[in-house]
Amino acid sequence: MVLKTLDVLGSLHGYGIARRIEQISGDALFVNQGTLYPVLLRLEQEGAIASEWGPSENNRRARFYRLTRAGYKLLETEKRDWEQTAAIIARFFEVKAEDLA
Amino acid sequence: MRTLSRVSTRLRNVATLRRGDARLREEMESHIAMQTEENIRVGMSADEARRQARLKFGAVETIREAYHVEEGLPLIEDLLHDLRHSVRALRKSPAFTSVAVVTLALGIGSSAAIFCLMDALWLHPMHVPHPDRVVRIFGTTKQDQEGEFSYPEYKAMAQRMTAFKGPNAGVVAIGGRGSLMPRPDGTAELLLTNVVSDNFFTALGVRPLLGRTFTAQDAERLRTHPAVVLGYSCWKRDFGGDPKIVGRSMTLLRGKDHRYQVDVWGVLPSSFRDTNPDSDRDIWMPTQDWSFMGRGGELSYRWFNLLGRLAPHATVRQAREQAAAVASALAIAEPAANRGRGARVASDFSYRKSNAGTTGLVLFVIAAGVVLLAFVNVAHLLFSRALNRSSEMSLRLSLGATRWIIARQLLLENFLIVALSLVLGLGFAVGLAAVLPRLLVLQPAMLESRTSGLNLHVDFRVFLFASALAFISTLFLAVIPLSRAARPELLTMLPAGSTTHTAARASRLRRAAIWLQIGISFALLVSTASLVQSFVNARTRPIGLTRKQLLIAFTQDPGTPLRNDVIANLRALPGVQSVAYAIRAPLMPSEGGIATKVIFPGQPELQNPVAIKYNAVSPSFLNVTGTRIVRGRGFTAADDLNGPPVVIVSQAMVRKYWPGQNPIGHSVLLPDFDNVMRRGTPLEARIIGVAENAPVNQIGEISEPYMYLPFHLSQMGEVTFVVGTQLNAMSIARDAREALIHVNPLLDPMLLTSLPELIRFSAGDYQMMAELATALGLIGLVLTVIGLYGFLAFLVTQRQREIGIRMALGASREATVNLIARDVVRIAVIGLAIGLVLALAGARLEVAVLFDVRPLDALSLSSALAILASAVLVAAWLPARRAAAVEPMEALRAE
Repeated sequence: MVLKTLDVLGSLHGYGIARRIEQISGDALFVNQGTLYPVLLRLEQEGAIASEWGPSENNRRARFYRLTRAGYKLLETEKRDWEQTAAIIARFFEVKAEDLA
Repeated sequence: MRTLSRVSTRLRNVATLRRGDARLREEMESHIAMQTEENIRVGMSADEARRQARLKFGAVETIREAYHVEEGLPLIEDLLHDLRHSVRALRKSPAFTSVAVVTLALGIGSSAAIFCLMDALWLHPMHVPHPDRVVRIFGTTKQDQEGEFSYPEYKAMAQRMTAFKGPNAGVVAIGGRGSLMPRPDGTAELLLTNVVSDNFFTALGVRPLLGRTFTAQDAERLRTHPAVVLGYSCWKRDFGGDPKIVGRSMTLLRGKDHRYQVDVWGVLPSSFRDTNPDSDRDIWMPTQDWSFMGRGGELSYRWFNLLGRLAPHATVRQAREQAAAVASALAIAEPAANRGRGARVASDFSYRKSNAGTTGLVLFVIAAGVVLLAFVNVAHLLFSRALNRSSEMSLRLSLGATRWIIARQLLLENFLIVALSLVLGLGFAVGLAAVLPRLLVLQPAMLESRTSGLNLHVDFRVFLFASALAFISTLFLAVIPLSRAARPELLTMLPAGSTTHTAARASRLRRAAIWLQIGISFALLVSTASLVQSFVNARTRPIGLTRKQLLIAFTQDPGTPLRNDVIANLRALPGVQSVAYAIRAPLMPSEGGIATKVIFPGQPELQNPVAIKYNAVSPSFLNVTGTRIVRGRGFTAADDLNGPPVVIVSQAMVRKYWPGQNPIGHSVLLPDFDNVMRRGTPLEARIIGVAENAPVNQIGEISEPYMYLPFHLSQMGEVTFVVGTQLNAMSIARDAREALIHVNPLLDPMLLTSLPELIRFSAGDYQMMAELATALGLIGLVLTVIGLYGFLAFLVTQRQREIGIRMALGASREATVNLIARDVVRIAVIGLAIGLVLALAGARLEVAVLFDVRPLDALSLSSALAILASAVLVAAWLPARRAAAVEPMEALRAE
């Protein structure tokens, strides 16, 4: 989700990412927004995202995260994996008893 | 890949102690600020906006924690933290730490040094590739399991054994001989020579340092162009390490008149000196050289050791079966020469292990005893320390540390102690390794002593051994924190430092440990006493040889007239009392004569001829060497070429062939010798006397049947002069050499030493055992004293209150001392009982390596007892005095 958010919106600070995910998921995710930060750190350690300090919209110092090339690749594979998984699960739900008979 | 990059980043974070805490704090602040602004925008009051923003963000501390976990490697960080704590804890009690470390280091270091010695003497594999594929092939008879082969037998074996066929495999023969190399001054130097089959170096995989070695492909060329390969020591000593030696030729002598030019093809590296670890040979030549120099006839005698490198898929078992098959085929083909002979194959490692034999095992057990003492001592220390720290531990427990955390902490402290003592112990071992070879008698003193081939190195194998010991000790000591320190109960421990319940349990365990310690120490002392006695006996007891000064000079026999000149010259030397000669002097490292067929005409039950070793001697020889005639008469000048053939036999020979009879007047047939009187018939020698058993090759050997013949029957072409003197024999060695060279430069002795030196050399194993056992026994004793002292001191501290009460109730100071003394005596008696059992077990092992000492004899037991008793007194002295000095009021108030 973080990766996709950054993919769509480009460089963004932590608050922005949290807001965005909140908006899209309709507040269903993120009980605590703070849990985002350990995740960001982990992604950064993996090299999927990079970060730097920069001024926010209202001129506050904020750390901006953006996708790296490895991040794009990771997003692609994750996306493919997810689509595959989702397709398989979907097929299970479509199967009716008479189909198997 | 991703995990890897994450771990490496984290490792870097741990290593650089980098923390992103400030960054996180700032990010969180800006996050909350933004959320607050957002909230205000939707219409909240400023306070409410901030509150909602914080609520939405979550618990800051939990997030920081999670962030921190993501940042580093918590396991390693905890460990580092514990390590710092352990170092601090150990530094806080330097006395404990240093005693524990030094004690363990003594144990680890001394046994590592013993291992180093055993490894170098016996266990270290030959320096060839894949030494595990190298085997030894022995000829066997009923008496001898490690016999040699003749060269034709070798050829037959090599040809038929398929287990050794292949490119980098093969059977090789190697026999030790001597060669003479002329010196510029007309004398000659004896070069220790290995005569080997031409495939020796290629099959074993020995690569030269310089030039090349000979191979089986050179077989034809070598017949006409003799070649040698130099050993490293010889190259350094005789050729000054000349790098251009390859391709040059050197001269070898045979007798007075024959000189041979041989080409130097190569030089061997210092890592390969011989096939046995403590031996160092000068030159290596193919059997073709030996034939070239006119000694090819000797090849049909049995003096070759066989080794082999197995073909890639062959097993020792296959080789064993094939060798046995070839040997029995040979026995059937030529029953006269080979009846009863078999062959045996053993891996080189098992051969070395059997060489270490009981001597190595006894040393190892003694060293293990010392290590155990050290372990127990450190365990004592840890017990006391754990007890002293129980309030600290309870405090930490009550502050929320889990037992596992505390145990981990203590384990780490132990680990640190062991690691430190490993380092110190290895240093100690390096020092010992430098000293040990000087304590050993590796060769008798000679006029020109050679450097010994034995060099002790604390190498990787020794390091591995010491590390294994350290590992075991860590495991052993780990039991203590896991069993005890993890046990303090919150409620009982917190109020007072020393509660009696756990202390009593600890002291029971420690009491048992002390018994064991006294027991081990006693057993060590008993065996040390036996080994020292054994060594003293080997040097002083009657052995059938004189202990007086005798110079021994081994050289070529110049024949009767020149020999008489030599004798006259030797007699003229100052301080010389007697001169005699024989083929060999007793205990000389080179092999003497053997009569391969001895027939007993009067004894029909002894149909098959037997082989019996003999010496051919001058009339006064037995008198000079101090071997007594116990029956009949000795040789006289009349027993010469013109007299009837006579022989003197040893007591062991009488016991075997004429048990309970008087052999004098009987005769033996000796077909090996020329019968001058009646050519073509076997020599018939009449027995004129019986000589006491005297060692032939080795002090402490089991006496074999042995014969003495008049010297004129000798066919060996060699002679050994023995010169009795009032002075130190080695002090006239130079003059004696001059006396020989004066007659003929070629009579320069190949071996010039003294009988006391040969005895010293031969008793070298007893000396080594005695020295090492004494050193280890002393270390063990010191450890025991420290352990006992520590325990008693602890006991007195524990009972301080009790003693105080007793004194307050009117007990005298003597009574207090008696109280402690009773305890000490009880401990000592139980310890001695355990020790006696251990000593009994040790004695069964030790009996094989003792010289003329019954294990567990009265002297060993009583001296061990006396030494241990005084050690116990020393250990008990201070604690007892401290107990007597207890002031009742202070002791009671201290609680």
